[in-house]
Amino acid sequence: MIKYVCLIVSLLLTVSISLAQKETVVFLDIRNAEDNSGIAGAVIHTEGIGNSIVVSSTEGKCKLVFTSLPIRIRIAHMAFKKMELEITEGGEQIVYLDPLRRELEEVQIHTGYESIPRERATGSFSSLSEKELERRASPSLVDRLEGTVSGLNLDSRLEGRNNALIVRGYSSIRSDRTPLVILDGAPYEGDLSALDPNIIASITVLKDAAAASIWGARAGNGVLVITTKSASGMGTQVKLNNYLTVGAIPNRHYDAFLLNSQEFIGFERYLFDEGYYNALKSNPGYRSFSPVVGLLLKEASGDISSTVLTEQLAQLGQEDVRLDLDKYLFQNSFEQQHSVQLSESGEKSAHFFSGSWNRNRSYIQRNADQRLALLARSTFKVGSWLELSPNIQYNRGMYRNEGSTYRQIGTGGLYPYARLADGEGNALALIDNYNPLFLEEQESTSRLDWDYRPLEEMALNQNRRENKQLLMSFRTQVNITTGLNLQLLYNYQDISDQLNLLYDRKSYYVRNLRNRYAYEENGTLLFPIADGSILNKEDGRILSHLGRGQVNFSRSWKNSDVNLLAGMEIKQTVGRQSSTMVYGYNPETLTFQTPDLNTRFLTFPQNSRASIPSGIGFSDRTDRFLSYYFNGSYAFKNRYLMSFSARRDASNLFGVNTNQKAVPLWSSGLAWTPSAEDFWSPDFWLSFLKIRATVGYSGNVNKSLTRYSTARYGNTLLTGLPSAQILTPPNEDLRWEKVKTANLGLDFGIEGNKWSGSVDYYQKRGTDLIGEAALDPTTGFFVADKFTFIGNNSELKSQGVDFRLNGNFRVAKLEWTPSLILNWNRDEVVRYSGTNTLALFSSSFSAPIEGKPLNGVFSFPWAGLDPVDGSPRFWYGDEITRDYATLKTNTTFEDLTFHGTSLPVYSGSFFNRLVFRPVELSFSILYGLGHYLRRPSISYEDLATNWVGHSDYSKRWMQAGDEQFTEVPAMPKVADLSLWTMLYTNSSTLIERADYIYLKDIRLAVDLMGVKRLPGKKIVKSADLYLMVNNVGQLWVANSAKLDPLTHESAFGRQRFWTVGLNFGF
Amino acid sequence: MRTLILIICSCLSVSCMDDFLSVKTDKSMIIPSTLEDFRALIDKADVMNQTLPYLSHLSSDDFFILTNNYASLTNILKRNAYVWKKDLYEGTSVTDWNRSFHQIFYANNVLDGLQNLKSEEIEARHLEGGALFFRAFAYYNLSQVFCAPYDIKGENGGLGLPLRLKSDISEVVGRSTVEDVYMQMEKDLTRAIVLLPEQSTIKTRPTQFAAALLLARVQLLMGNYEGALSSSQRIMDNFELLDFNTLNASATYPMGQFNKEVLLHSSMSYTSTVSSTDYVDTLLIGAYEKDDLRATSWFVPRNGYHVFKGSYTGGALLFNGLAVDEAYLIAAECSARLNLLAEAKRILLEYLTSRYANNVAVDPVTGDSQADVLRAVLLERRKGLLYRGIRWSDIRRLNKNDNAGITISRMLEGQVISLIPNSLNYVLPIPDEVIFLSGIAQNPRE
Repeated sequence: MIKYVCLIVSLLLTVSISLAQKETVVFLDIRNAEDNSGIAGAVIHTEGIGNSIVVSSTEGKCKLVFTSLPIRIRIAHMAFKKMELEITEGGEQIVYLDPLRRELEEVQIHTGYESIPRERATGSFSSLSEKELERRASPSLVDRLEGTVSGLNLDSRLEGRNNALIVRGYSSIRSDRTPLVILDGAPYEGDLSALDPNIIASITVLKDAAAASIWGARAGNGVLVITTKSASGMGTQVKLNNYLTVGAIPNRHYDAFLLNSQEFIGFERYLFDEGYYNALKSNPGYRSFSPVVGLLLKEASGDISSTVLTEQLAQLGQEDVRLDLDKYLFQNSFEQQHSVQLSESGEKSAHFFSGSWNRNRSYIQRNADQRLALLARSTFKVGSWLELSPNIQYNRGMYRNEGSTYRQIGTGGLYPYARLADGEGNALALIDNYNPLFLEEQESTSRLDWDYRPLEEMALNQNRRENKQLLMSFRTQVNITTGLNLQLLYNYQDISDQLNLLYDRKSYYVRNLRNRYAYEENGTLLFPIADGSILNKEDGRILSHLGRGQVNFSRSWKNSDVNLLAGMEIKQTVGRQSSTMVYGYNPETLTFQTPDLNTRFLTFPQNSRASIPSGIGFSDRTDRFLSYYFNGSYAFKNRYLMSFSARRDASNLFGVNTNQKAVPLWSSGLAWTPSAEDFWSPDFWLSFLKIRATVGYSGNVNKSLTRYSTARYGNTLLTGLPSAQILTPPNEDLRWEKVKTANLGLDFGIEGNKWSGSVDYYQKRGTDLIGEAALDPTTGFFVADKFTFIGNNSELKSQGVDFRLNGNFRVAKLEWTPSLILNWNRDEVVRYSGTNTLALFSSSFSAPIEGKPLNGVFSFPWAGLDPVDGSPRFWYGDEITRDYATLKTNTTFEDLTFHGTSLPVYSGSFFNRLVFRPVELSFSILYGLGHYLRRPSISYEDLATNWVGHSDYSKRWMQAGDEQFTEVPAMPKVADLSLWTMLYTNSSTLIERADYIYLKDIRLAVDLMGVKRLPGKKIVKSADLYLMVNNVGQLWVANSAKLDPLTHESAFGRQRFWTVGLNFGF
Repeated sequence: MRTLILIICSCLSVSCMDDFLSVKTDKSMIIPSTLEDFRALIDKADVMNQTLPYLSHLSSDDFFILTNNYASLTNILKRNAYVWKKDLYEGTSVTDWNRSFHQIFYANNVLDGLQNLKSEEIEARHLEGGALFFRAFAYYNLSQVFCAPYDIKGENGGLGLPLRLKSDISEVVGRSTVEDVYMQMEKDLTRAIVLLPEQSTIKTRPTQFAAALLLARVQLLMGNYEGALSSSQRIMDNFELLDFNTLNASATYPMGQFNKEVLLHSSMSYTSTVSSTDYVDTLLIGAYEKDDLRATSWFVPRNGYHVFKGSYTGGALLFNGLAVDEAYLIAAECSARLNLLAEAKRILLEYLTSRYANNVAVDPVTGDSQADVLRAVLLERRKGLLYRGIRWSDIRRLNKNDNAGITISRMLEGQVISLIPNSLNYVLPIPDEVIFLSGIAQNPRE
């Protein structure tokens, strides 16, 4: 407002002066040297003419009138380097200002309740501007965030998932560990992937208690505050963004997990000779085994001769399923996005509209999706006392998931000599649920064809998902007196998700189900499931209402600034799900036939009684929150700062009386800016310094627990009677999780902000964390064979440092802005008793152990292979042992080798931007150091049961002397199969350092406006063309096996993307 | 401004907020508190009637495994229990212990809930009786595996079981004496008989006759032959035997689910399918007479041996519930032990009549002495109640109290492994994790 007043005043002044004398008119166009955008609010001092001040308009334009030339002017703006220049002639002139440091670009910190300038904050924040977000063109917001914010990490073990974001390490053990996402002031209930990154104006990450405690009981994991764009600048603006991305066929990491056919057949023959399949010799039953085992059994029973066997095995040995996978499963991915943004603002109202459309073809054939995202927002000013802002956002995603990755092809696995199609591309059958001998036997019966042909299956069935989001809010601001206003917010979210699975009548799914329930009566086979397709529909819907009333007060006196806000919030989220299954469905005529769902048929060949699955299910849950909050800060002389915030949350979650449901959380902070003191010389090399300290509490909820013993109704299979299962034992002491955070921070600028950055040291302690405590089975309580009691019985502490350093250099026309992020985080489980030794190895995510990091890596101490027979040996105490059973039973945590953590201790990024107008080159490097990984190797048990192999198989011990070159055990005897596998795959010989340096992306952009003789320059205001490669690859890895620590467990590497994009502004 | 604050405050009046927060989070979750809820807990058949103990069966001599089939066994519990290994579990979870205490937990939840509810309805009596029955049933199964056999003449002060009589999982309970375990079972069953209904159309729900038969089992083990005789007499008076002549002997599982003789359906988490490599003891097979329909309907030849298919579950799962035939065999044995020899012979013959072709039974008693009668009764018991986990209890009690001197042996790779009478290994070890977490005393093994 003041800006406009100044502008008008100065215009009036110049006008009055111009009346008096003969004048030269100069039109200045003040632009940001970095992105060519206009700089609003730059102040132009003219020498000599008293205190004549002109302020540039929102587009960076201003008009100066001089009576005599030449004349010196000074242009100043708090975010840019001061500039002096001499005006020698009239007319239009473009002036470029260099930004001081990027973070100072009018950085506002959005807490979701208010926006405050960074200088007025005591807490620890990281923020990301629109420009930084736009840089990495990717449909996924999470991908755009990777390595750009200090203190925000991605858990690479959860590759590609939206729950992978971590703020300053994990704060919780068993509860929801994802940060709270605030979208335009209200908690966002949907999936991050559904948001269109194009409409995001900024993201602020609230890292410590000062900021987070205002979000109270859900802020323990950190808070991501997302602010979407609104009308900016004056007048009308149009922006067009387009890009096209091509993704490489993913690296065939699965090569390692598929043996070559001959090796695998050799292994199967070995198992057969060792008697592994003896039980099948007299009765092969129906359960799945591979075609080779089928042939061996036939030979053993004399059905085929040994010559036929040898011939057929030799033929199978020639097959290579990987060729089929390349041909029929994978493809290059494509992604295109077009988005348009319109903005119009005037004095009384402002409007913003954004629409974007995404189309994506996956690297898996038959998988694709489309996404439409619309946003409309307006602000109306009624007088000076009322402001109304309606906002509506609609996102629609359509997903088609009809393809498979190689792991999904068979339920039991995929054997290396499988063939997906013959030479003409006709789909071929594979072994899935049933063994080849059983299937052969069924061919002569009147049951339906029972072959599983994966390619045909993918082509026949439909798998479509549609996700719709309607987000609306209405914000009202009533200005009561100067500095006092009332804000009312109503937010509504309606998020629905529909899944349609249509199994064609000819599909294996339908044939298998029909066959299983078919029974013989009087010599004929009856099918209780009628011929026809099967339609499975699942509907999910989340409805959320939020109401908030908030009073804001801010006033400045001579040396003091006071900011206060207080409010209450009420919120309800209802989530409902339902599913149905329609049998005998004809999609052409929409007819269906309901089968007999009550009779318990004797299923074939399982021979157990079961009724036809109805597929009908409902769930309905309601979460309600009621919160009161207060936040206040006091600044003295703009350099001493004090803040306090408190919040009280109550919810219906625990089903207890209201008093126990509520939890009060608070935080307070102090800050001091010594560089603003009088004694601080403005020429001192440390040109800016601010010290901050905060301490406080935030919380976390676990929605799955209640205080009373609870049960869930179901039906007993045996009798069909309603029955109840006890899910939780009573827990009188259930409460919210609490996270205490103390933060000490430093913001600095060196030599006129050539260097700037911040350091934060923090300590977190999570108490009352929900965790598992081992429970004596004698108590009789367990669910799904887990003998643990879940309650507030765990504690976790962590400490860390977030460091960020930005540089800003200019050599002639070359500008270099490097930026380094370093995060150090170390955590330790203080209290937890629910882990037993074996649970440590049951998943790749290790279980918590007291006194060790949350994600500790443990192993059995390896003592090399036995030179006699190549069996694995281990250290147990001071002895080398081969007593595997004892080792497995008696090993305690003390006997295991502890290596470290599986999450990086040091992580961060190194970002570089080089500008040589109009070309800009930038690249980002990510790194993670100080952590460990468990290298996958051959698991003989997996190879025998589900055909998952490993290339280490060919490095196994085969004869005496091999132990000098290899650590891979020989093929085990049947009795040792599972013990060797378990001990070897978890042995210390397979633990590797996981340190890496990863080149995330390279981007080359050209500012087309800077290119001379470009047609159409008159109509466009800005135009950029860029090329980018995302997920370039590892620059360095510490482990000798050269495994990529980011993807070593997945079947695919990170997919590499090439993007070309074009942005216009009008 | 003042009015505004007033409006906001009135909106947030405490009473309306209490309602706002008292709504249930998940609609399908219930806090068990009504008779219907408790009925649903008792009817949770997969806890109360299924996946129950089977180590007693694995340890018994009803079956044997050939060396080459033993080599391909992957189930650690089966491998070890079969040869009575000292370290039985090797860290695997022991469902015999866990599932039985799970049953007890459900029963205690019902009993505690009923106590709070104080309902006068007849259904409440039935539920209380049902809960007491299942608690006793679980302790019965546990006592046959984890406690020393009951010494009829001795003290029975040895290590019993943790007697958990409340649902509170934070309660710490140590091991009682063997005597206490048996007294508790007797007490619970005596009370259950009073409370339970006479009949139930649903065979997974206990009746007073099921409770009476379980009581007879316990009394037999305790040497209370009069008691066991009168308990089993009640069942014989009210139920008939199944005539095996009506069975389709060639059916996959001829006995049928919930058949006429079943008083309470209950199954082990262990199966015997036609493709099983557990073969029925050859001497036992040889003991069936030519016209014995049990032999033709219960066994199917395979590779020169026999596989069992006579489970009273009517499927592959082995039966460990309660059935009328057992009442006859208990009554016959008790009569013999009480020297009511004619009565014993009469009961035995009545039982066998239903088992033989054309209902013509061969009198199995060859002699007039009490010992002759008892020997015949015990042999018929062995032939009639195999694959139900009962044999293990019988070996234990006969060796302990009758000095029967039964030694059971396994033959693997030409080696004979034997379990000598009254060996410490007749009492299985408590699961390692239980010892670790609760610190209760472990059973000695050798």
